[in-house]
Order: sequence, then structure tokens, then C-alpha cells
Amino acid sequence: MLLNRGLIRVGLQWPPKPRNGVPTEPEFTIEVVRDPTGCNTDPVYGLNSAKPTVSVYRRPRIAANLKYINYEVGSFNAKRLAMINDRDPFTGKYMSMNIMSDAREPSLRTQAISASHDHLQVKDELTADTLDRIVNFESQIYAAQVDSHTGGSLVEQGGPDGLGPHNLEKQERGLGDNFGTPLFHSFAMWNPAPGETSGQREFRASVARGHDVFFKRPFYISDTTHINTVGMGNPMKRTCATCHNSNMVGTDLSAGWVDVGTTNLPYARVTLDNPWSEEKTELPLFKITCNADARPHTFLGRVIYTQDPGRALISGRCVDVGSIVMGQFRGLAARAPYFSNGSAATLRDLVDFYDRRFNIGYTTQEKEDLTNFLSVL
Amino acid sequence: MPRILSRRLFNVALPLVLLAGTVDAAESQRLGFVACPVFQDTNTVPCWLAEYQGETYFLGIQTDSGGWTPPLQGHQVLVEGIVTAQPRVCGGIVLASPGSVFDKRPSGKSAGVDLPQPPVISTMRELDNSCRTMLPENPRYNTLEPRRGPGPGNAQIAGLQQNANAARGAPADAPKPPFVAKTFELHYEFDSELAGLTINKLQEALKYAGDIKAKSVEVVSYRASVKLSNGKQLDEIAKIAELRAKELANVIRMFGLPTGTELKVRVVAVVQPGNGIDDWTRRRSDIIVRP
Repeated sequence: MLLNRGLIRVGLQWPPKPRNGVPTEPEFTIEVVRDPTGCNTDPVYGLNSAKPTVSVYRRPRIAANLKYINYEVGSFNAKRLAMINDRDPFTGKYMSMNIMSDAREPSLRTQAISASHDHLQVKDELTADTLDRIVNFESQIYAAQVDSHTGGSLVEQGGPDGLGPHNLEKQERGLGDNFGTPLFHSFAMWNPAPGETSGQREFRASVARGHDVFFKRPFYISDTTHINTVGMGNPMKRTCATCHNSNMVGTDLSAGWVDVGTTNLPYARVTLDNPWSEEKTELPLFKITCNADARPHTFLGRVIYTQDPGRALISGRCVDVGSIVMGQFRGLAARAPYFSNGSAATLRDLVDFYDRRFNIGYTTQEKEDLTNFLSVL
Repeated sequence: MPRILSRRLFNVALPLVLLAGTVDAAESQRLGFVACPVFQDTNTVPCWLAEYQGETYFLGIQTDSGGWTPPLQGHQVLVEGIVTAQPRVCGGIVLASPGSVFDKRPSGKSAGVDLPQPPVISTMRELDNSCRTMLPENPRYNTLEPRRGPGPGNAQIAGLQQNANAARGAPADAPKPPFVAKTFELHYEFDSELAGLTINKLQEALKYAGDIKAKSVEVVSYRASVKLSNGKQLDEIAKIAELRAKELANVIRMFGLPTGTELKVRVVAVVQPGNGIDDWTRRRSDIIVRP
């Protein structure tokens, strides 16, 4: 899984830990339908062990550009409609909950502590000084694509100020889904720029068109929990930038867990086992059954099949099954495969997923332009 | 309708209608029905419609999050509104708000005329995948403003900010003794335990509790019914009052109460019958802060 999909195992306690000091009562039961790795059915480490644990498989996230990811917010969270954001226990501040794919850690400090226990199996607690140094180190890293084989330098003078790590360092967080403040700014100077080779010119023009597809081309966003359900209606006619709205990084400025269908059936990519193929199922499959009183998953109802329940493993809520926090759109060309479960091998696969999922009907040219645009971020 | 009953309804309805602002009380006809929402695209933002007894009604347009909540396809929708005399929009008779606390802001213009505050909309809890009608753009209905980009325009952002500031208001002076018990009402969509649109009342309640070092904060949650236009009573699910109370109490615990303040929870599971006029008011929780 690490080699094929870039995934690592994440073992999560079930039922979930208390949040903000309040016990979490799960609204659903979990059954293991398929368990290719054996972890979920393992008598010592599995779901029915003495310490019930759910094992899911996820891509590590980029530890850079964190001022755009981890920040103080107001108390209420639109994604939870009436619930409050998690607080950083060190500061008492409500936090953006965008660090991890299930938003289980509210701050870089708590994430460092959790990683030291779970991944590193450190016996002693990290000292305050060590935590400070980890957080300070992470917080000064900016990462973005700096060069394109075809497009040339992405950090040259006079180039788009939505590109390159220096621009990420200089700019600030903000809502970028509108014409006043487009999140990736403008690529107009690439249409064409002086001194370009013909190959560069063609590629850069494609990137500029791809930006416009991302930012301006509407489609019907539908059946996406925590997007359609936060007061915009289902479907809604908007663009990629509506959900991927945060300046420079393309995450969601509010806590960004969303069920776009990357892990929940019927939209998730599945491998169909059969006797005449060598490709085998890699990911587990869980059956989630919502309790009779629970609010069901808005678009999948009370029985859901999923490869990763995502946020629901932390919140215990049916409505959160399959919701994953958006990843940032930086250094993408170097970080295949995509989505939390590595189900898109290439940027083109990622674009194809959205095209199928929302029945967008991109032309071949639009797909190529969008892919090129994503590759330079 | 007997004249005396009509008069009584008029008397009850008048204050609500005045709240709505755009509806002629004498002309008002209340409607409550459950139907599949219909999505009608236009050259700007889509319209939301619903059909009842062979007639098409206009509910509102797609907006940004907050304010009214447009319907969700895949679910039926409960509509509680007032028929207006405005010109049809997207082919539908325009429904307006019955004057509810869910009202936040006008949802746009059609042919230069302000749309009224939309009716109260509740997305029904369970899936209904028969509700999937999407109608393509029809040039006859291309009357909606504003044309917009991928997100809110600058004017709209400024308006949202203004609303947020107004809602926040100037910091109120701390109350002075003698302190009194105060009740803060939170309202819900039908069958929902999430008081998303009125959750600011919780913050007001907790602020008051902190200011007066309250002896207790009591959550009282209710289960209601809607009297539909066909005369039937539609009850909320049996456990909704309990779910509302539990949800609210958990949020209060997460916020934290002042030291020494007791949290009490009470569930009124008996259905509050609907009257077809202001049924949304009974889908509620009260937070009672006592000194």
C-alpha cells in the first residue's frame, strides 16, 4: 500500500475519544466487510480486540504553508451546523481543524504530541521546549512547485504571484472564491509572456486557461455532505473555487471536511476482485449502520459502505461518514497519488474523478488545461 | 371559512405578516405542504420551486451559506409560507416568509423587484431519491439578479460583513442586580436537532449566565407538529425533543459554564400541536438562565 498508493496505516480508537472534555457517543455501528491487510480483524489490534481499533489507510499531509491551514477561528463551525470548533488546549483558542484528514488534532502542538505517541512510540512526554521547536520549525516552511519541465521557471520575476514558495510566505490567508480576491490570483501575464519559448508559451497558455476552468467554469455540485448541506442547496451551480476557496492553498477556509465520495461507495474507486485479474483489493471496506434515532448521512442514508469513515471516526456522527478534510493544492506534481486514500494515481485521474462525479462534461482540452494548472501550484 | 374564524386568524397573523414586510396581510394565504423540491436553472443562479395541488410555487434562489437554506435534492421539503401577489418567478407563485426568526436577508431580485424573505424550509430527515427533478435553463426565467462569479461579489461580501457586525452588535453593558431569570429561544427546522440558524442565542444565554454568575442554566426542548394545508397534522419524530436537548447540552458543556452554575435538562416529549400559522415557533429549545 505504501508503494502503490503512498498510504500508511492509521489506527483509531473506537468508540472515539472524548472531545473538548465531552464523551462522544457513536451514532452508528461498524462492521468489517473486507480486510485485505488483516488489521481490522486482528484479535490483538482489530475492531473486536480488547482495545477496539479501526485501521484506515491514508496519505501523509504536507507539513508546510501551515499559516494557511492552522489558525484561530470563531467558536461555531458551519460544517457541524450547531457544534463548536475544537480548542487548542494550550491556548484555549478555537482552531480551524484543517491539519489532519479527519480533523482530529486542533493544533500543531497536539498533533506533535499525538504523533510522538502513535507513530514514534516515544515513551516520555515531549517537553514544552521540544514542542516549541517542532512548531516553530514547521511554521517557517513554505513549499510550492518552483519549476515545470515544459513551463520553465515558476518563480521568475514578473510571473504569477499565485506561484512559488516566496509568494506563499508573503501573502495572507483569506477567502478567495470571488472575483475581488481570486485565490490563485492571475495568470494573465502568461498569455503570452516575453522571452518564452514556443513550448513554454503553449504550456503557460494552457495553465492560464486551466486557472479559468478552476475558477470560473460552473457545474452542478451535488450530493456533497458539508458543502451542499451548509446552506447552499443541493445541487448548487458553482465552480471548483467555491469549495477550494482558501487563498493560495485551495483548502476550505472553514473547517474543511467534505464527503465528495473519495472513500464512500458508490463513488469511491474500487478494485473488483476476480479470478482472471492480478489486481487485488487493497483497502478495507466497512459497513456503517446508523442508529434509528441518528440523523442519517444526508445523501447515502442509513447504511453506508466505505473504505474510510473519515471524520465520523472522530465525531461519531453518521452525517460525517466519508468526510475528509481537503488537502492543500501545493507541490502537487511531486506528491502523487492523490486523495486521502491515494485513489487517483495522477492529476489527470483526479480531474477525471471530478468530471465523472459531478457529470461536468469537461472537454479533453479543459481536462488537459486543468491538469496543467494544478501541476504548477 | 367562517367569518369569525377568518377574523381570528387575521388577528393572529397580522404581527407576523408585518414582520415579513412585503406581504399584504389582507391578501395573505398561508400554505404548508411537503413536496419534492424542483431545481430550475437560469442564466445566473438557480431557482428552487415546489409543486402543490397542481400549482408551482417559487421558494427562493441559490445563495451563499447562511440566511435561508435552499432545499436538498434527494429529500422532500416542508414548506411553510405565505402566498404573495408578486409576479411569478421561474414560473412559480412567489411564497414569502411567515415572519420567522430564520429570516436573515433578502435573497435577491427578479426583474428588478426584490424577492421577499423566503418561506420557512425544512429538509426532511430521510432520503427520498425520487426528489431529483432538475430543469434546464429556460430563457423565460432569466430574470434573476445579481449575475455573479464563482463566489459572492464584493457588494455581497460587504453586506455579509455588515450583517455579521450588526448581529454581533456593540458589546452590551454587563447586567446590574437585581438579576432576573431570562429565557433564550432557539428554533429548528422540522425534525432537526441542529439549531444552526439561531445558535447565536446560545452564546447570548451563556454570556448572560457568566455575567450574572447564574445559579442554573436549564435547557428545555420541545417536539412539535405542523398543521398542513390539507388539514393533516405532521408530527416530528418521537425522540426529537430528546435529541435537541442532548445536542444543546453537549454544546453547552463544550463551551463550559461558570463555576457553580448547574446545567439542567428537561425534555417535553409531548407533541405541541400545530395551527398552520406559526408552527415553526414550537420547534424549539428554551435556555432558561436563572440567577
